[in-house]
Amino acid sequence: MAHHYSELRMPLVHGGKTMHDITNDVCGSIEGKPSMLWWIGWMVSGLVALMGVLTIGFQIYKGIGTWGLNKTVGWGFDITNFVFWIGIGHAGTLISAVLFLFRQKWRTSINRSAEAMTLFAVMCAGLFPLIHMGRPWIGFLWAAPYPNLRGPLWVNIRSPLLWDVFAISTYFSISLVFWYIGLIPDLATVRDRAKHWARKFFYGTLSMGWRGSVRHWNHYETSYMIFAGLATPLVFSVHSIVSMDFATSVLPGWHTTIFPPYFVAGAIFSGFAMVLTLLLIARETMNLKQYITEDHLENMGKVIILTGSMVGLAYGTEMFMAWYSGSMYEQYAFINRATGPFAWSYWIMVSCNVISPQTLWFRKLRRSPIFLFIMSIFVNIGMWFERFVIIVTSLHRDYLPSSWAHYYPTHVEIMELIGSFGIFFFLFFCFIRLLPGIAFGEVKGVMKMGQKHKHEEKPGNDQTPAAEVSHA
Amino acid sequence: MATVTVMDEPEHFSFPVLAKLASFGMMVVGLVAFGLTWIGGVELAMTGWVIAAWYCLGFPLFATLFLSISHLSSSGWHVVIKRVPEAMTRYLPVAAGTFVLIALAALFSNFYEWAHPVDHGDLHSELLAGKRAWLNPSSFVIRMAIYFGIWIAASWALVRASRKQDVDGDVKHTTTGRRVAAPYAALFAITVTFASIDYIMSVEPTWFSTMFGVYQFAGIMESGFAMLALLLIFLQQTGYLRKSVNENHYHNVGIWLLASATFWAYIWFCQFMLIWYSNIPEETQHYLARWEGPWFWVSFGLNPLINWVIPFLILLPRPNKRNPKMLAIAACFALGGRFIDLWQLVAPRSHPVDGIPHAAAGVWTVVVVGTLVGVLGLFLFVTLKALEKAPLLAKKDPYYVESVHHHL
Repeated sequence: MAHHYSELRMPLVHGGKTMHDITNDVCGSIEGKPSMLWWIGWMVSGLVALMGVLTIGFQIYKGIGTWGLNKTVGWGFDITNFVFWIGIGHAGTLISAVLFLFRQKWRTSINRSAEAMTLFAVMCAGLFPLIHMGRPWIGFLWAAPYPNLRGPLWVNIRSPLLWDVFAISTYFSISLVFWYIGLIPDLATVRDRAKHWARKFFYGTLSMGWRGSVRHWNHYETSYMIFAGLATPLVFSVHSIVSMDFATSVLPGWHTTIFPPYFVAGAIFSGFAMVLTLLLIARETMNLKQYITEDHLENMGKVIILTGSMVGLAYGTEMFMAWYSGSMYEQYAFINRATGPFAWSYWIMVSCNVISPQTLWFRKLRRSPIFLFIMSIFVNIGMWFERFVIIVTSLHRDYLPSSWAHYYPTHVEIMELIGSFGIFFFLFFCFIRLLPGIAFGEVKGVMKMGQKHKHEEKPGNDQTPAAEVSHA
Repeated sequence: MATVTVMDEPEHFSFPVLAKLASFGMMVVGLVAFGLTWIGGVELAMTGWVIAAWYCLGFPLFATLFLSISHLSSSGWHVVIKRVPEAMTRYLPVAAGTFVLIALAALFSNFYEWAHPVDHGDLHSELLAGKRAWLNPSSFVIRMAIYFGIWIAASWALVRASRKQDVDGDVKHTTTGRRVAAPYAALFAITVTFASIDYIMSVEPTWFSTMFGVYQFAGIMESGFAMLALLLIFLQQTGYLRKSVNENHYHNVGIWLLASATFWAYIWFCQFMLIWYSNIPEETQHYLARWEGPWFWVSFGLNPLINWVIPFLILLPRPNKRNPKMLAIAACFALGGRFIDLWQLVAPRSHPVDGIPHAAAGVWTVVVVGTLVGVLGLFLFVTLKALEKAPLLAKKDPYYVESVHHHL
């Protein structure tokens, strides 16, 4: 079937690459010796991860008392980090599943690393509720009765915290399988190029005997579509259920019906910001500028302004409804957010999440890698603070002024947060060294886009550079 | 530009006489039904009218957003069908006319309880007094003018750019469309959120839900795609677009209908579940009025069944999305579901208004549907009339070639 593309479509891959060039470029980066930059990144993140793991060990040995939580503020950095990382873990599956169903061809250059990022982020997220248990080994026997002074304590199926366990483990499993299925054809190419027997064995095992026959591709395409269909509702359900951890309560600031879609939008927002952070580093250090082009960056910038504005609308709606409800507790919760002792965190959140993405209305800024990098860091900070604001400011002053309290994180909590970044980046550095970071099998399938066809007549006056019409 | 030229189909639509008569017939039915509802009192009449006006306003609103999304996502497949949503937007000024009656109801009647509150010295009156700054007739009317101003201006600009491109084929009109679409998408979100609060949520002025705007947005999208599908099928049945629109375009519309129905179900369930779970009296009052008595079967039985379960089951298999007959059946369910959804939102009230009997149930349903049929006739007449104004295919659109060759 011949492809017909509008004159306005720009090529997705620059530099007039041939199929062979693409294979060489992507596989080459995992075949040669790693660069100095990679070694530095790998070691620094490894050390930070090690620090995090040691801190966790210390905290488990000493107990949860090493955290700054108190009776009023029972959730602090732990759950903030958990929701933050789960949010980061949304972009990968969104790019691979939802954008796949929408036939967005530009996803092919970025989906592989975004999916890997998803998996690592979900791992970091899962860590926090686990260590919050104090005795995490009991977590592995979660479904068994939890040993307790009052006899066996079974999990409560009516608690959204338990729904979370199911939602996140399902999401992780499907994302992992989806990612792996996509990897198989590329792994087979790496296997075929391998010279050393150990590499042949390693990639040979992982590629599960893929030979690239028509039958293989047929099965591959079918299962990829099915998994995309299965993963799409999961993108929505996971963060909706995370939001229900809060929204099913009766606490002003937590209980609001807009939470499910608003958390999903926020998750995609933060996830795309993290994808940008990582890809901007990757394209700079691994020489991938012709695959992850400025058009890709611009598209991601557009998703960020879209989801950032959705989040802004949700903030506004919440504020308005707090007033409109006529409930003094609702009203106070929101006044306290903006003017109380944690007002600084609220204003960091608003300026990073709502105000700063508005700069992306300008096309020049959307296409500037340096600006986008700074922007993505701002959004990462802002989205971490969003969870902090929701959790801590709502908890610290509730219905009874006599139980009001403040919350100060301890160095243990801070080091665990930094450590989780170490774990995340360490895993990511391992990934780009071991596995093909770009789904080159899929990139090859979208090469035709934006290239002139011989059988299509070009009208003489239609040579307007496409760049001119990609304003928004 | 394109290698394939589409032959053997009329370039211009002409409104079939039979369809014209049918839409007039619907309007007559509507007038009679609306007249009859006045017997039941102003509350019943306005219940029917608010449902019908808001229901039909959803179509042009959907159309403006559909065109905007297509611009913003550089969509190509939609070009051969884009005249239909463009024609749908032409109903907006007429919709503004239908909303004048709602403005009058707010100014001169007790349909909206907050419009002329009576102080009973109880908590209910106190709550209403607290909302005076937002819920009062004059600011209600001013906001209405602002919403319609934004919607009409944007729809006019979007359609104008498309028409100009028909003449000169200049790519710059696509850029213009995009420049309108981006800020409009943001304004759309804000205006639709607050319009939903004003016209529907404030019927029960002490109830509130932050999700409400999203909930109405979901309903607008679902019914909008259903209407788009039906209009396309109607055009093909009457001999238009036979060559250029094929099962691949239906497939895309079907995917959108499936997705928006599912999104509606997600939002509907989340709003209900969170309020049910937390069990806070200010919020449960709304669901309590629908949980007890016959409304239960409407709100929690029929509503999810025909808005989501049936369309979902019909549209999930690929062949059904590509089959106009199956798509039309699913679309009819979605459109029926939109009525059920609005009906159970507007008719039952947790706090009935003084002096007006609790109406709009039972036998009156038929009459309320009659009002909807009338406004729907008006919408169809205006849309099909607008469809005559421009060629059915935007052949000079830079994405036309992709749309003609669209293949899934």
